[in-house]
Amino acid sequence: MNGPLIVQSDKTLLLEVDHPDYEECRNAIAPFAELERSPEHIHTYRLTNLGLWNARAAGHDAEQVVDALMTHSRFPVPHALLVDVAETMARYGRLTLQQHPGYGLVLTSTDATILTEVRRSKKVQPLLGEDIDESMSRVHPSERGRLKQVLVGLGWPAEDLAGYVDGERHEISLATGDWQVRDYQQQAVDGFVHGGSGVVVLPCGAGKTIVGATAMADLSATTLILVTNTVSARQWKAELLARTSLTDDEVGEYSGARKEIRPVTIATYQVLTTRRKGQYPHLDLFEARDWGLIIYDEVHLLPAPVFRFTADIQARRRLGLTATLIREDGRETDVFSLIGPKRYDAPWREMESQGWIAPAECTEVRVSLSQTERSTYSMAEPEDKYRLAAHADAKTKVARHLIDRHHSDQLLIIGQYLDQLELLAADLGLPLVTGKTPVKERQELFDGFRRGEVRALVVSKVANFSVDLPEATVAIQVSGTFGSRQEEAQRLGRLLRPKKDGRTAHFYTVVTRDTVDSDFAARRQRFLAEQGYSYDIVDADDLLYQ
Amino acid sequence: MARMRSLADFLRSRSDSQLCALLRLRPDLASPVPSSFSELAQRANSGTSTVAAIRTVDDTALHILEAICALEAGGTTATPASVSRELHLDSYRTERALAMLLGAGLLWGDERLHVPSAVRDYFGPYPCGLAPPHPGDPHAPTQVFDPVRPSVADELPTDLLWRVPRLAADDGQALALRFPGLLRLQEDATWLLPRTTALALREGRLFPQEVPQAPELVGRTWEPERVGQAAAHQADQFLRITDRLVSWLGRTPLSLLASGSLGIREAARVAAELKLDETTFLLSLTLALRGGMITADAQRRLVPTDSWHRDARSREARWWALFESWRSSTEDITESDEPAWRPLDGNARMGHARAAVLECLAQADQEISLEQTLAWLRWRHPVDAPNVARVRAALVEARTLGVSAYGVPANFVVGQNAAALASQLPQQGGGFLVQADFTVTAPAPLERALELRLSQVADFESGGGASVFRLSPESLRRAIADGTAAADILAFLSEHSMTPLPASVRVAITDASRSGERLVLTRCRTTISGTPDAIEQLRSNAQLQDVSWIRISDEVVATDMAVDEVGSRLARAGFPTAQPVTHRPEATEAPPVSPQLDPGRVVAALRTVEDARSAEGEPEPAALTTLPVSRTRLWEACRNGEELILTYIDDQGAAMTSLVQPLTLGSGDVCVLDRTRAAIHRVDLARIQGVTDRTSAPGPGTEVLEEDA
Repeated sequence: MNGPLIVQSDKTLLLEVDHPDYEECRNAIAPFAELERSPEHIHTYRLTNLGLWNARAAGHDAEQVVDALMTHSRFPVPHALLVDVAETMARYGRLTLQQHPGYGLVLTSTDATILTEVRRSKKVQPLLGEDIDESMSRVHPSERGRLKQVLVGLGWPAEDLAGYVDGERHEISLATGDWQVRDYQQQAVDGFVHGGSGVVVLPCGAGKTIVGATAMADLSATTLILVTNTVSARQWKAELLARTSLTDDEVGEYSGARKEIRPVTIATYQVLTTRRKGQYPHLDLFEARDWGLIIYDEVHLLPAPVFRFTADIQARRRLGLTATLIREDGRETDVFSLIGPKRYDAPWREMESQGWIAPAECTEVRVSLSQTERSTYSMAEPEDKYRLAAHADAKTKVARHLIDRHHSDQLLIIGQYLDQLELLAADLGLPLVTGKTPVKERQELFDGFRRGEVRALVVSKVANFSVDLPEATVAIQVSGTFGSRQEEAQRLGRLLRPKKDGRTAHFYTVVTRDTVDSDFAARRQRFLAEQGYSYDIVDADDLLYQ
Repeated sequence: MARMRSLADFLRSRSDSQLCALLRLRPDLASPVPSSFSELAQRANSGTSTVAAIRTVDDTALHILEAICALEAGGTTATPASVSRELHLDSYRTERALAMLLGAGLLWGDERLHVPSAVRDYFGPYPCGLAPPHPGDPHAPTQVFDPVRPSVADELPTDLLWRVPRLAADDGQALALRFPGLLRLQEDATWLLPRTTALALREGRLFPQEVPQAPELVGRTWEPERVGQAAAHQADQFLRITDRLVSWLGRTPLSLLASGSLGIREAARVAAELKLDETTFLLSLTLALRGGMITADAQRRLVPTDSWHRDARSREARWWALFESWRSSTEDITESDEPAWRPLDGNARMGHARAAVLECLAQADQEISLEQTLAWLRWRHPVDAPNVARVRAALVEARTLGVSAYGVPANFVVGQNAAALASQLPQQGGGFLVQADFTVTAPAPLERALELRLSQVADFESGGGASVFRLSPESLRRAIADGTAAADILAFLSEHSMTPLPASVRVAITDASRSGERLVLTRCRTTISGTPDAIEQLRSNAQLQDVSWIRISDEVVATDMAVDEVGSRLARAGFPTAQPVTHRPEATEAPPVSPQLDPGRVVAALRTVEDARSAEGEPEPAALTTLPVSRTRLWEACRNGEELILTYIDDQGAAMTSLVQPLTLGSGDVCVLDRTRAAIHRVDLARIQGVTDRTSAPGPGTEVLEEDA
């Protein structure tokens, strides 16, 4: 008994990375355990009900799970945990959603008592139609997603055997030639296609767009792609045109600027959630065509109205893509139950070691408030403290120093507060991109950056997601959205596209010591630390002195 | 050999080990300690004690006991052979059941078996549902109702035939008209089914069904080694959970309500804070309290005791103490409908459930279902089988404590072998991994002192085979506030970390110290001052590592350990005796009222009295020596079985001196075996004038009894 796995009684699994059987064990537990964090020595997985049910849905049974745990465990596996695994997995599939030739969508069970139990739930009642017999009830087709969600909550997950609509067929193939789909991308696509719907989690820069394109080619159906903003929509379009057989005419943009509906339509979350007279007129886009596939880019940002609408379109295949499945509102479970289970996940550092993303070094630079700033800060109201700390004068000095230090690299200076960014841009003489910058100008600046004509950009949170700037090597973060872990990760993600010369990316976060800024920084860094990124912490004076 | 004429004779004839077993089974017989075998027999034949004893026998034995009563009522003296014959039992089962009944003092005799009168009373006037024989002709066959047709039995009320052979006037009249001669009219106008008639209708059977046998226990078998290892791991984990809880109480004493109980909501809150489920939390809390690891202080707060701080026993010894506490505990922590948990609030039913479940697990020795467990318990405890909820709870507790694994009792529990536990406990590691995400993972169980120290600087996150902690600004500030300097935290982590400390962790510690060391609020019981060099030597001394020094300044350190203990530790570590400057006593536990009574000692006392009376001899006077004496001294004498010379005023006001062996210590009196007078009696503590030790060297004289502080 000297396996790499330690099974804890709270259902966490600790996997020792340096153990010779690490790979084998990871492959054995990956189908049913959720990777929670992957720092340098011990990776933590967690057994969740949802994870176990997803494993059942994917064809794994309790015996396999128990066997995997007992085979690789270093210590005796708690018996209660084994019993719990068996009981949890046995709950899956006792209810099934099926297409009945006569009654349409129905909820059935071989155990009438379970069906009786769920029928009595106040949350289930409005989602069900008439009871056909004691083991079968009609389901309103539009409530398929919501019913599944509620049943998961009740602890009786339904096995969805009602299938997916194929959607309107549209031939799409990959234009591989000088590039190939990577193994992990193919594994992610295979996992998704086999399961029907689900979420793929890959680090920034690891080629999530290729995963989307490969899935589209695999299904060859009309596709609706939902993205965070117009710039991202255009990047997707450019990438699809470059990587697939799709032509310009076949790919439409549905944004604030254009309203094109084509076999492949790329829409922004913003336009879909535009509200007029209490209605969301653009949500009709979901029904504008017989979509065979819906792709949700940056699925962790899925806005609430789209959440609701997604529940209504459970018959269509759904693919969620993200690097950081952390929702600050804690609705990760909703993502899994509405879009589908996690189909693929890979530790960031592992991708880095295989060369699929750029190596990165993270540094926290500590600055101090001046005497005047410190007294203002001390007297400030709690809600103003972060703004004051984030605006420390010393940050400009540090940013200037870092720009000089990385004079041959392309840099991004990223911040939260527009006035701070404007001052920085003016002070450092750099172009500024914010939400107010017109899309065209934004596009031009980004293009100039990609071509190397613009060496450094000062950007607001508009560049947090989905902006592909492959040559960016250095990022200097001067402020952020409080303690947002996913923002920190996404900002580092801007640098992770592998560099042509294999250079290491540098991510600097400038933090004011002994203020809430440093408290928030500690929280922000947690996700990346859990992914194995270790922050070097240097004093601004030391840095400037060097 | 003299003929056995009574229960007292029978008890007198039992061997010492059999008597000890009887007293263990029926502890009420020894409390208060009986003064003779006659008194013991009298007590064993009391109604309450008999009812309690009947609860200890299984369904087979209970049926046999009732059958013997019925036979005796019918004028037949039962013998083992007649019992086997009447009940169609094989001799093995009969002997086993009879041994159980004789062992419990519910039956007496040698060849001929007799039931004590209290047992007859228990079964009432109609044992086996049979009326006593007619006084005129007890052995006569059916006289009136003839012939007895077996088919009549089917037409009679079941209760009349098998339970109560008596009917009220109206019902009896109707039946008597239907079956003339079947019933006999009594003087009180009720109707009785005569014994002989009933037996004929029953075709001679005493019970409607066969005497029940122990249900077969069949389940999945597990390798004993695997079970032992899993249970030992769990045992180790439970120990660590309890230590963590007690350590937490040291930092955050848990306030009890004015009623002395703990609100269930509060319990849930604390359990969540400690990342424990409520059952584990309450079990751990209960056993820690019973085991003297924690106590309620004057402010009704649960706080760690000195003995916990000082505890240097091995893991197996510490676990064994917890296990014994659990086995003897009666606290019911499963009553979810109770609004509060009351410390040490006994519920005999839960204690019974624990013992019963443990017995069942040992009997099965394989993983059996809950249904099988319940069926077996119904047979084993036909009078008061524990209910499902308590059985389920006891099973969970056994699993949580490490008594069983995979539903099977561990080999070290079955064999009562602490050494076997020691060999199966997981090997302890001395190091952990500190990672950049601020987690501290100990891949193997840590030594107690190390784990406690780690829990002072980091928050517990996950337990099991490994322990996972997380450093956070709050945990670091807390450690600093408890008096641990940032440099000490760094040194501690660096010393035990198996990998270099990440830079972010180093900086976080420094940050916390910057914001946390400005003000230090700490609580300690003992402080030591000295030159900075001397203090540094103390802090770095390996023998004093577990003292948990709190640095107040370069010249002052403190600890939560009691001042006397610190003094002796310093002396042992080779330091010149440092004068403790501050001592803040708190939360010292009082000795229990009386140590658990050793049945062997009671039996020995009874034999002594018996022998002395038969020999009419006087014990030799002892050399009188005197020692400072107190209530604690009497308590120790009880515990150790020592003899003392007691000087006291008796009920008539006369001064008495006796060589005594204290047996039990009550709140106001002590029960002693008086060797001088060959008697067992009680002496009021207030009447004791002095106590002298029998064996030590001559002293200055008898001292007056003093109550302990």
